[in-house]
Order: sequence, then structure tokens, then C-alpha cells
Amino acid sequence: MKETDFLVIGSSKSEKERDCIAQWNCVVLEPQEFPTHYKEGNCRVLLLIEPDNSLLAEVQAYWADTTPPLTLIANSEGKGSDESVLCFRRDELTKPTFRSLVKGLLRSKKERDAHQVLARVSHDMRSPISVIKMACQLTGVHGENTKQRQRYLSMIEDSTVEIQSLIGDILDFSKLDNDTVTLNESTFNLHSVFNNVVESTRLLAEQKGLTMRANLHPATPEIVRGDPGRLKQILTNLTNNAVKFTATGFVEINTVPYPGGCGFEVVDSGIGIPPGAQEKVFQAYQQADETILNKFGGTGLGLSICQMLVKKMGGEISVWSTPGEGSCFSFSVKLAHVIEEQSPVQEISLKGMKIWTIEHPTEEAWHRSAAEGGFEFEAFQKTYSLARRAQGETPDAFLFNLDNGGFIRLSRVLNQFPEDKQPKVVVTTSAGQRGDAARCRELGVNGYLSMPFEFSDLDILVRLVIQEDSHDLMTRHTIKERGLSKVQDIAC
Amino acid sequence: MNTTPSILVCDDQPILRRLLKETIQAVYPAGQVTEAQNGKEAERLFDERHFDLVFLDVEMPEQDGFTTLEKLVKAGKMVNSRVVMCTGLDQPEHFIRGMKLKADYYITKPFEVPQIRELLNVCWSEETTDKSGEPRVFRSYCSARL
Repeated sequence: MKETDFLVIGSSKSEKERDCIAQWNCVVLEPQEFPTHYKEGNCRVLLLIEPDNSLLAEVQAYWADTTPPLTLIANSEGKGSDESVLCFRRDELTKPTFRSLVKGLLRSKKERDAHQVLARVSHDMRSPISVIKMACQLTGVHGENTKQRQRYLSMIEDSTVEIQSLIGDILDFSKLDNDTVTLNESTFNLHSVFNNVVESTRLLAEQKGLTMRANLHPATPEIVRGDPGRLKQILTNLTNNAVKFTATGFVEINTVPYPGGCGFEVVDSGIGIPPGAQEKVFQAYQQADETILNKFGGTGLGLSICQMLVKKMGGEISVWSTPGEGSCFSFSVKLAHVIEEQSPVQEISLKGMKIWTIEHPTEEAWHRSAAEGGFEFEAFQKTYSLARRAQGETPDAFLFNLDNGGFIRLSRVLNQFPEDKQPKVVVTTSAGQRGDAARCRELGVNGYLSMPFEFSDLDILVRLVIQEDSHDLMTRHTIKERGLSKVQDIAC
Repeated sequence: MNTTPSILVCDDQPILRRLLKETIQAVYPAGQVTEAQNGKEAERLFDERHFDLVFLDVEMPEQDGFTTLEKLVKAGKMVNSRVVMCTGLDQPEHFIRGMKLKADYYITKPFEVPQIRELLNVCWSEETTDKSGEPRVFRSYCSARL
């Protein structure tokens, strides 16, 4: 028998239905012919139209033994639909509905899952898109009112943020699903990541009138090795959910340290999750039923991303919940405790040193740091004022922002220093370009950092170039390679 | 329906509720628009008073739109009210569910101001038609999306 899409049992008397099925490869059978014709594997879907009830039971009994990929569309009063049975009253079956349903049934399981994820995501995008569309259109109606216009603009902005986070989720999800995510490991301060999440959650919680509690267990290691950005992503996702689904009461975040890693708990006094749904909340859209989706609206992918990330980080995630009383999401991740790895550069004292610059965006931070660290920091406004000072003395380090005059000005400034007493030079730029490194080497620059950077990174770079008598150009990579950066991953 | 229509907007998203309300008020400045953030609240409001028209979202916490409509119909509260299901759910089974519950209209997100305006006009121009017949705009709105 050649490959058929359907066996159709109980040939349809309705022209509409005949018309509907005509586009597929079908074999139409009378009910009594079914047992002799149906062999496992010779068709993908069985389409049953207008069965009488006894036949329905008979055919279904037959499927139970053969587990074929069968689906039924019956002209019955039956309500609702599930994976294998879809029931309809004939008068409700419009042609497009029918076609779309059958197309859906012909998809393989994997296609169906992918389709459902897509359907969900596009669904989630609809609300913010509605907001954007309507806000734009209403701006036309109330355009003359500046205040109103501002309000619409901020709605539009919020919605774009929402869409952006959805897109981030889809990308994360598909990368995790294909296992193409790599963790960005670095040495970081676990306490500050934790406190960071606590503070941002506190804001959200207090807006809703909830109490925010945080318990950082005293044994929680401070400096650890792992992916701070992803850890923060998981924590934020769980805490945001906790706030979202709690109307009154509290949200609580705890750490539960253990050797080689750390556990985290996010507890709330929210609506909770019914027992049957608890094991499903981590599965992506494909398994979740509508009640969960209703309750866990939003991106719908968040928890499954969390679960995949936690697994990737060598841990586990689970949930306990009592409906009406609250939920507790807990997860663990492997985090190597870095013992006393106080970055050695921190110990390079700048005491008594001199650092100069010409108009640098980090001036203020340097002044503060100089006051604390007992070194001298001077920011000149003009090249000539620096030139005048350079006749009598040379700083230990000179900091230059390429945005103020580029390499040409830099080389002019460096000429002001006596050749035998050149300071160590660190340059920063907001517009790094190909070839910068070569030019830096030509001019004898020791350190190069392009924006955006944190002050701590610049500070480390300056300390490094002062300490090391190397002619190599030190960059962000040097800091990273040595595990010295305090900056968390951008993904934070 | 009265000349000052009373309309209920039920959606869990405050911004969307607000925009719907403003759209309605742009068409009917005299219209009284009440907001509900979920199905439970809509049900409670219906206990207190009558609404001529309800914009009902489907996916909402506490109680979804379909369940809400089902309960309201059973309680006989919908006899003189029109229901517009407005949701992001655009699969056939969702339309069919809406049809079974005798929703008057089914519009899918993202919706637009002109669409809502047109719908309001249609609703009001049909005020004398009884509710027993086929859903009116239903088919044109939903099948276009299929």
C-alpha cells in the first residue's frame, strides 16, 4: 500500500468535509473495512468522521493495543480536546479550522513541540505589541496633550523592554535546547551577586507592599568561581516570579552553602502551585497546561531556562508548594570556593605614587581612591599645563583618554616627558579601533582599555602596569586571563 | 442598550486595560468603563451591577476568561450583555471554545484602536438584535486569523 496520510472511516457525506480531506492522500473506508486495512505504520493518522458510538469504542480498543500514531476527529458532542482525540460537532467545523487542525495532527512530536513553543512566544509578544500599537494610535488622538504623550511613550518603552526580554528568553532557550551555551566562568564575589539580586527584588516587592527577607548564611563563601551572570539570571527569574505571584505576605531569599557549591531558596507566600502541576512548571510550553500558563504567564520559558542553566552548572532545581500558602523554589549550583584569592594586584600599593591624567572621565573616582590609598592624583586640563609640570617631575603612571585628541595628542603629551623618565602609560577609549594595539606599542603604551569598563578594572590595570616591568601591552584580556576582574559578566 | 453604555474591561495587564479604556472613552466619552483585573473580580462586579459590554481576556490569574464566561452565562447574567473575548490565543480550539460559550466576538491580540472602535460601533448598531443567533462578527474576525 502506498503511503497514505489518512485512513478515513465512515466516508463523509458532507461535501465540505470531502473537500477538506481531498488535499491529502487518503483511503476512505467503510467502518467494517477498518480492521482488515489498518496495519501499523501504513498510515500516519486515522481520521474518523461521524462514527457511531459503538464503533468508536471498538476502534479505540484496537488502538490501545497497537499504540499507532492515530488521531480522531469525531462528529460528537464530546467536549474539549487532548493529544490524541479531538471532538467536534459538525456544524462547528469550519473549513479553515479543520485544515489547521489536521495540519497540526500531521506534525511529528518534535515539530509539534517546536510549533507550540513558537505559538506561545508569539502569543506572549502580542500583549506588548498591542500596547505599542494602541499607544501609538492613541497618541494621534490625544497628541496635543504633552503629558499624555509622555505617558504613551513610556508605555511603549516598557513594552519594548518586555519584548526584548522575551527575545532574550527565546535565544537562551534555543541555545540551551541545542546545548550551545557556554558558561562564562570567572572569579566573582557571591555575596555581592546575592545582595544585588536582593536589592532589585526588594524594590519590586515593596512596590507591591510585600515584605522582603534575605538570609545570607554566614558560611556562604564570598569569592567563588562560576558564571555570575547566569547565576544572577536564575536568581532574578525566581525572585521575579515570587513577587509576581504573591499578593500579600513576603518573599524570602536564602543561601544554603555546602562544600563545593551553594544552594539558594526563594520562598514566597503566594498563590502556590497545585501538586499535579508542580513537576510540570520546569518544562517548556509543550507540557504545561493552561492553568499553569495562566498562573505563570509572562515568558513561560523562564523556569525551563532556569532548569537547563542549573543543570549546566552542575546542580538541581526543585519546587515545593502548597496552593494558597506559597511556594519554595530551591536550586543548587557548583561553585568552587576560591580561598583567599585576594587578587595580588590589590596588594600592589600605590602609596606615594603619582598618577597624572588630562581630562579623564574617571577623575572623580581616582581622586577618591587617591585619598584612600595615599597616592597622588592630578588631572590637568591642558597639555601645556602638564608640560610645564613635566619639566620638573615625572609621574609613575599617566592615564590618557583617546577620545580627547587621539594618538596624535597622546604622542605630543608623551614628548613632554624626558626620554629616560617616561611614565607607564594607560589609555582608554570609547571607540576602540582595529590597529589601536599596534599604535599603542609604537608609542610605548603599557595598558589599553576600551569602554565600557568598570573603574575597578582600570584601577587593576594601572596597578598591573606599575608593578610589572613588561613591555607587553596589557588589556582587558590580561585582567581576565589572570582572573583579576571584579566585574561581573555583561549578562548580569 | 442605553445611551450611556456601561462597559467592563477585564484583563490582567493594567496597561492594556488602561489603553482599552481610553480607546472606548475616545469613542464614547459618556461611556462608563469599569476595570477588572481577573475573572473573579469580573464575576463579583457582575453580582453588583449590569454591564452592556464586556471585554474579556482569556489568560488571567485566579480565573481565566472562559471559565468566567461560563459561570456568568450559567448564572443568567449575560442575557443582555455582549462579550468580546480579547486574547492572544489564536488556535482553532480556542475560537471553538469561545464559540461554544456563545461569546459575541473573538478578537486576537495585538489589537488596534480602529478595530476596537469598529467593534464598538457594530455592537451598538446591533442593539436590537437578539442574542440567540449565530455569533456575528465572530467568523470574520477569527477565520481571518486562521
